[in-house]
Amino acid sequence: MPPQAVDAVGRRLKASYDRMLREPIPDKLIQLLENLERSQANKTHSDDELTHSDDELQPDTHDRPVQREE
Amino acid sequence: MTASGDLKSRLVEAMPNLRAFAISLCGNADKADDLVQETLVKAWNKLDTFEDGTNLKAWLFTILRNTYFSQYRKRRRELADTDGEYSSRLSVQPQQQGHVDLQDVSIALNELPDDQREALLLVAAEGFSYEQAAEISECAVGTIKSRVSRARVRLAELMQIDSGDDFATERYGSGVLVSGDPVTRG
Repeated sequence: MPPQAVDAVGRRLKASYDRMLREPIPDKLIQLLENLERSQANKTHSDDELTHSDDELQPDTHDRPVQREE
Repeated sequence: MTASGDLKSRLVEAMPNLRAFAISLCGNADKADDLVQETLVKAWNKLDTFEDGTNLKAWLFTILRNTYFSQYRKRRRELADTDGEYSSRLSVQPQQQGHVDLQDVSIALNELPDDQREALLLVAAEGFSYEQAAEISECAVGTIKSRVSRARVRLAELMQIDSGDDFATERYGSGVLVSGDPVTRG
């Protein structure tokens, strides 16, 4: 494959990618960040009320230690 | 972390890049947004493991690609029709439209193996160094280099960019996307 063709691919890829970078960020993503921030603020304000808000933020639970009863 | 406002603005800043990377990896904007959401939540929940002064974008990209490779790629394979759908779009597109536009880069991109697509996106689209890309992908620098170079060649083949075609970006109006049988027009 000649280098010119490979360069052309790189340019097209970059152009396509840069176009995506200019797209507006979906509202739901901004919203999510705001929710995360808000729940963190709540957490900071009430230290002894440990983390029911954490549950909402944790989509997967597999890396949480599981306590087994014997 | 006291400066969550500052951090938020840095996350917002990185969001277009995370999203473009996710869309290019998944080949699907809806799935990509789910992937970005999951990445943000994970990142937020382990912010304390982020070392201040290191590259936040690279850190986020690492979380995103790990999530993609551990979960999304599997789902993608489970959607048995996905590959067929892309192939059929690939072969139909040139006849239908008679030209190749930038959109076709992403269609051709989806024909690449995951690891090559990832490496090419990190280096050629996102502008990470080979070293940074290697760290993000958790592999050797040489591996990244060879993936990127194979990806470039494969993409050029898929998009049938000819030798000596210096003006491919200007000339794509007459191009044909798929290598193989030339498209005959009546």
